[in-house]
Amino acid sequence: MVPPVQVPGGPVSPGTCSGVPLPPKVPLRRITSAQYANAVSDLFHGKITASPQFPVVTGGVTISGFSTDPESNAVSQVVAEQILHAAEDTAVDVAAKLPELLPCSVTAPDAACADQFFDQYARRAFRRPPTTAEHTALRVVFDKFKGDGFDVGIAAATVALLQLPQFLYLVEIGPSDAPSRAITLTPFEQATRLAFLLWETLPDDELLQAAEQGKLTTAAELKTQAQRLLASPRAEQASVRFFREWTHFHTFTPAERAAAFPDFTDALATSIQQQFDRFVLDNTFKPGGSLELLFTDSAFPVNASLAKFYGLTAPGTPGTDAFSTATLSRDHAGGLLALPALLGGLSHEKDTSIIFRGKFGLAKLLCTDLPSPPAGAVSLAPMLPADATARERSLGIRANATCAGCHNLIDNVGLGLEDFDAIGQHRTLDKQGRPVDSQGVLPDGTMFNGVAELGATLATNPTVRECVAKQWFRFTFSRRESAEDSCTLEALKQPLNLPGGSIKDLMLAAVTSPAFGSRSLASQGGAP
Amino acid sequence: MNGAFNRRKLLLGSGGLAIGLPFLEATAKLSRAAVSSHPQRLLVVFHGEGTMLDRWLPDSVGTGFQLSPLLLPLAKHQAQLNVISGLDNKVAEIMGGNGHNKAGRSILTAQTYSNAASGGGDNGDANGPSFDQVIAGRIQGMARLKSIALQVSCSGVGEYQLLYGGKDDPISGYSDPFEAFTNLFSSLPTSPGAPAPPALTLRDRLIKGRASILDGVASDFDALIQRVGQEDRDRLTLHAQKIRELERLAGSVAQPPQPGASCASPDLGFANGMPVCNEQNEPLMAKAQIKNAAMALACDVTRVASIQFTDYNGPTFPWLGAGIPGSYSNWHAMIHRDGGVLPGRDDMVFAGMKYYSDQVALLLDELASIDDGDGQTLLDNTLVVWMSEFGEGGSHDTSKIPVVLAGGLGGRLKTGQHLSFSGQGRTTNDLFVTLLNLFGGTDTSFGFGGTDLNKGPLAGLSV
Repeated sequence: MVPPVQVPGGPVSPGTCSGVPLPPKVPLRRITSAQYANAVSDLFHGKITASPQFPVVTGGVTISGFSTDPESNAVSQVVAEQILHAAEDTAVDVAAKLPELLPCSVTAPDAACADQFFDQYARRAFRRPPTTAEHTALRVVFDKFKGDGFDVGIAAATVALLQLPQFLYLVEIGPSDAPSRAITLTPFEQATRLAFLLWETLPDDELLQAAEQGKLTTAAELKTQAQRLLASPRAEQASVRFFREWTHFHTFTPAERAAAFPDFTDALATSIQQQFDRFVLDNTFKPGGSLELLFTDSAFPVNASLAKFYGLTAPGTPGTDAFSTATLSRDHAGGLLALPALLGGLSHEKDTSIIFRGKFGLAKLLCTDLPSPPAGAVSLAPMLPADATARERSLGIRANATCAGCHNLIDNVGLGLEDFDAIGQHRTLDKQGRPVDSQGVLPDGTMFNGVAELGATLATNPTVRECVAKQWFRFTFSRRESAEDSCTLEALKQPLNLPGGSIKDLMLAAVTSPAFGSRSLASQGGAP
Repeated sequence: MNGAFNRRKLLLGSGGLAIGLPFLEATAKLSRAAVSSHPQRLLVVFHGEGTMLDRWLPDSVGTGFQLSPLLLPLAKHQAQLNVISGLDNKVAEIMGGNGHNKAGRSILTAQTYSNAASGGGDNGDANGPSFDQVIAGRIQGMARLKSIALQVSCSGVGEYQLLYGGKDDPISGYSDPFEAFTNLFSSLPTSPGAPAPPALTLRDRLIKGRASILDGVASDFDALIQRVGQEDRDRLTLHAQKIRELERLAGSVAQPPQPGASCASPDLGFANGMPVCNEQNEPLMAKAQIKNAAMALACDVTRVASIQFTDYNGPTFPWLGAGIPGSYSNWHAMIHRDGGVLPGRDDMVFAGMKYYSDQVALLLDELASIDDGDGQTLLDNTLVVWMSEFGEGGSHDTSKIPVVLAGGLGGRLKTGQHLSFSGQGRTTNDLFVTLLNLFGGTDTSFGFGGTDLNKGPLAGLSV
């Protein structure tokens, strides 16, 4: 053990829990493009594909690290215009498929039929029955346009429906119309939170029905529904997004890596991404999956491309892309941490990055945020020969006291993964052909060598369990935790402290926690 | 396939067609004052990663200054330039978060993050508007759009969300020149004798009915806004404002082009279907956005436009034929000198930076080629503001920001000079106050920092 290092500027501690969980502040969230695509399809019974004109966020502000952040989904003038265009595209498609979508006779549809249409589709779009005023507003649009044809009236009302805040936002007001500081969600709002969290879409009929019957008010009822949702393949999309966004998943392509990895093929690149998704889904949902195995597993999904990549002869059916499970050598026994998708993504185009990997370890696994480099930091880096090793470059930077505070922490984690190259392939020699030294140190002084030792120590580290719980908190509520959330976080991490505790257990603990059914409106100046 | 393609194709069919010609001929002969009768226009150009100060900073100051290697491409327009050096973006220095986020959020706003309004913070939206949007709100006049944001490259803005209408109100832009073209020019009045439109399709009816549909949507927002807490209300209100603006645009009658302007929907120079996001085509896209911006100003569709080169991380400039040398991973790593200064680094950074200079030169050429009436060119009546977020890109340093102003703004400022504020503690806040005042404002400060960061307008520009 080396002595623990003082972390400059951090870590940010959420405080200790004393008392009961407080209602979390939950920002008003606009649905993402992925959620919109699912919602439009589900709204119209799978018969309509959402328009590609709906705005897709590419990079930009995300404070929680997840794409549901309200800042990432702000509506600018261009975004509003794209939402309008997407709504018009869908309305045209709806008009063309009216016979399949109308809840009444298509031979002579009348205003009563339009009313039925609005009742049915507004209920699905709003995730609750529309109010009389909401219904009337749609009918008013219909009436203005019906002179040009019943289909024009329905299409115009659909253009409106798909731009309404009741559809585009997770509106959470609670049972009373009078805004208050803390609310308990209505069962319909609960159903919506649950469905968008676990399925990335609108609640299905069964969930809406449960809400209608007032059945989503107890932890047991919520757990039953959550278990049902998690048992469905539809839960995979949200889970994969959780893991990808948590780990800052970054796809890397042969085009980017061609200069250093001429043999890196499209098939392998695709397989590497699929392997990541399969690994995290297996770990989350298959019996025996656990947080411990998430960081220590040596069994990985492997297809033919990956078998070749790993130098295996047996697994993977030659000539097909079918995946099977292969147990790899101890060099790879780091579960998630040993996945080429992760290690390759945390690399530069031509070589590894101990800084990307170290920052990942600190920020994403230990939830330790470091300050950004001071202005002009780059000019402090010593000029070294181009063939300097990663360790030599790191030591050069850390020789300067201004840099050493953070880079001792960052680099010592990243250096411990140096035995995986920039596409995540295990190596014993570095780019220049010298033996790799993958000795690393965690901020608490724990030393490790390679991914298996790193995984083993992280799997038993309480800070990691707390950090994983925080990540799910951020995923659930689209913001970073603060001091008031300490009791909620305490409840979330409980299942991870149990032997065999899994991410799925964390998900269930979160949705059945009191925080999940409530909302504080007190942030940023408070409710009126 | 959605309808945009067909609409675009239709519009491109009439590309280059002069619009509203009889009106132009009738009014161009009117006598008019030499200065203020043309609309004031602002065009912001931004590229990422700063500059190489030793190759950007002119050797001498004042009029008759020597152009530096990175400014040489603008030689033809030197008489209409103001090169401004030595200004610091001091707001970025008090912000937290990574070196790009803080520099990007503050470079045109002089604001901190809204969620850390007194400094610090990590990430978030800007706490107030960018200077261009303040000007846009003041000079819109009869122009249909308050502003237009054009982007070159499909990288997305990433950490460089620069433009804000106000606190938490990011402005997004068009990376597809065709999409921008449709927005800008589809509502220009068509020329007399144009063929009658074919029978209305369902989509036509929906587009025609937009104002009425959007009015219903906005009313629904208004009703919901009454029922929610303050934070939700702020978000929904910003969204509702955009719906009302769409409604206004849908309902507004096309304005005749401004007198004297050579208004014609531009020929973008290539057919629709050209892969917009293929980096190899980027120079074509830059040229198309330049044409969109210039003609949007000439036609008075808007008076404030911006062109942002968005890919600050990974451009490989394939058209330069040089590539990223040695073991540098990408443009950003090379700017950073990750792993030291490798052979070829400085030349390649220079080549990339000069590419941006060349694009600005093309823009100035375009503006100078457009007759704005009364013997003036569009460049004579426009102010181009070209900036980047760093001074020395290699150290990601937010001091010594490179600023180039070009154009005469209708004779409202002195031109043809290099103004140095090096060592005087002057800030980009001061620059923005100066610009606001050139556009008729009486402002004394802009953005964050109070009197610490605001010393008032910069001397040397006013006539």
